[in-house]
Amino acid sequence: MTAHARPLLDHRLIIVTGKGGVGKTTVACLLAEAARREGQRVLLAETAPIESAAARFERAPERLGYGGRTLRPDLDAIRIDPHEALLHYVRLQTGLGLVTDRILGSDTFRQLLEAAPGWRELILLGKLWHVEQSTDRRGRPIYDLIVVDAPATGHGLTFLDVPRVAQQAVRAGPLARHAGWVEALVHDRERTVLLPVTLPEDLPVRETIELVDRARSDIDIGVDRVVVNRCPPAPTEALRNVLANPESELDFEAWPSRTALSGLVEHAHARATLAARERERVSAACDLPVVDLPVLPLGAEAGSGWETEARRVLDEPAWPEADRAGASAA
Amino acid sequence: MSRAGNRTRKNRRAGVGLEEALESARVLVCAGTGGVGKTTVAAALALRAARAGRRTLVLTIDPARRLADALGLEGLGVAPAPVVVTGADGETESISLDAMMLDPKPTFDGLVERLAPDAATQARVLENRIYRHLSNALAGSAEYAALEQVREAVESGRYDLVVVDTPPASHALDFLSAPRRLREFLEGRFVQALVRPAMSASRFGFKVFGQSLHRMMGLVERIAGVGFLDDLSEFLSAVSALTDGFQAGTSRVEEILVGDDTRFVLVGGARSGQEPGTLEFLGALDELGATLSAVVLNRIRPWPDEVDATDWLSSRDDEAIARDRARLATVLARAGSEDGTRDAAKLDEIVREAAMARRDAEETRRTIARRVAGRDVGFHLVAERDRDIDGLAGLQRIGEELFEGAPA
Repeated sequence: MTAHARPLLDHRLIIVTGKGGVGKTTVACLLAEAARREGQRVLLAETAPIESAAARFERAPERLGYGGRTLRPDLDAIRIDPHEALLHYVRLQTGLGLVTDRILGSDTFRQLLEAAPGWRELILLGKLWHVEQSTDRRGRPIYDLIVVDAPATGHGLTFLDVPRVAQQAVRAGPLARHAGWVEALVHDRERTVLLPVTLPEDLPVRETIELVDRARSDIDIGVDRVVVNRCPPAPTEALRNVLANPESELDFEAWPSRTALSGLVEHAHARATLAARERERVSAACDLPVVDLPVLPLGAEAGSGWETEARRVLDEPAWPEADRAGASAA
Repeated sequence: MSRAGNRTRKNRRAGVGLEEALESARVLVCAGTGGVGKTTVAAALALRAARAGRRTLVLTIDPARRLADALGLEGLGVAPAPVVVTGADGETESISLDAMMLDPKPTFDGLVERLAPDAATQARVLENRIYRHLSNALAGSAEYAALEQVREAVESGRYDLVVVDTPPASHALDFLSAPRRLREFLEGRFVQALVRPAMSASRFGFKVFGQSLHRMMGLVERIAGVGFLDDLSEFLSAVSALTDGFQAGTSRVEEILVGDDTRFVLVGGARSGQEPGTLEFLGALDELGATLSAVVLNRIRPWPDEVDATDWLSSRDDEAIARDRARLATVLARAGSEDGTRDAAKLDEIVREAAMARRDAEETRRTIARRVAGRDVGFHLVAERDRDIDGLAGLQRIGEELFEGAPA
């Protein structure tokens, strides 16, 4: 259980996952930025229908699209649109241009796609595999690291299971073969790791415990830490006491009144206590160490200076309880 | 300007929407993105309706442990079970409130079993290889299966009001439009072409439908391999044997969702980043033709009402704050703090975070208020709790807050 975690940046593909609203995109951006600063060539891949990563880097971002754009030196970003990826794939497979486009653009085909299960997920992973395999003229990989802001589906990890399921449903043909390659990438501990992001709150933690459980039992993908995002600041006893004491001679210029501050600090204390409990719970239930991220002081928009915090996502994961920390150090 | 006064007035005027819903609706759906406290709001509203004398059922998806305890759901009932409500005097109140867990992962199997006209059809569907691997991913099937449970509860006639907590979805309409999507798919040209019995799955059959469909089949088979279309066609023709059941079922579910006796409450989070999801839901509910009674903005972070958070942040005087920090550090040192400077810095962090949270909440509040302005939609604010829901009393307090305005 205390096996030494392989450094995050030694992987080729990091799949940042978690339910909507936990800060998945922010963590993906922190990670991509941190990796770039470590000298890696990075691709940040968005999968949600609405792009949001570029707005962390640029004040008035243009679309990334399927073609992608360079956001920073050594950092490119794309949004993988399943329809465009499918078109790309079918073209690679058939070599047909106009005819294929006409078929794929037809209403009938759109209806089929509307309801056909799994293809979005499969084509998304296929595209990631394709990028991972791509090399330059000298045979070096184009990207050292691919960071994926994974889809926040209600079904959690279903998309990682699709290659396996697809092979069973399809049996033969190029699709089955390709799904096999993609599945191998998902399972490869050297190349791929799943990075679950959670908040120190009841519901996100429960979902994360379920997600990690499924990652191990159904998907068979590497997972070695949980990112606990937006850990609230915890006030000390001394601070709480001084602010709660009417005898304290405190008259502030810029801050609200002592009583108002005391109210804020008591609320912060209660939140921090709940958060610490949730953090311990997720670590114990998943049997994984955690990486804490603070609330970003000025948010995560372009120009807020969030980049200075990027490195924290690479911090050595820790066990929340002291005795566990001792055990893992031994 | 008094924010507290403002807020109270707003809630009072708007409370009509929710009150009307609790008094006369037969179905009350709590919609919204995940992680905004929908489940808690649904439970609080159900308790309030039951206290007002209506026979009420709350259908919940995934309650936190304390809430499940409060509702007596630790036994994980997928059948309605009565909630025991104890009054202040320790006596059990005689109100009619049932709670039931919606199966969070309803299987397509259950649906097939319910809808199959006979055992042979059921077996044919369940044994198909594509079905076995992919059925649960078939668009909208899980959501539709959940809605079927809602329909059953409503049609049972045992309740005056059914309060429904909706499952988290990646898109606003995933859950609510499931019946329509499923029906459109089954009635669509593609499925109809594949399942016409006279033509079976042969590509010959598709020629009737023209070159483009024929070519498409060729393309699909070239990539997915020979045999895939046969499996698919067999699957679809088996499923289409269920079509009559689907059609009757889906239209009844749709009637319930957009019927005259159904009201929606949209629950949104006050945190930055939760606003787009809430706005998407607003649009989706309009598109669906749903009757929106109220918007609840949940988890507003405490912040002194006499200070405008937005102004305070934008006019933050760093030098004055440095002096405040130094002053506090001195007092802390005198009071025996180990590191007064660090503690003072911590306070600065806490104050700034609280101010940002309130600023974001205010922005969300304004944006949503603009969107629902001029409509008969209530707008309610609920403060963030600093502890878990402590039983039914906690739910009761949230219910009161919804109607009487958040405490300052």
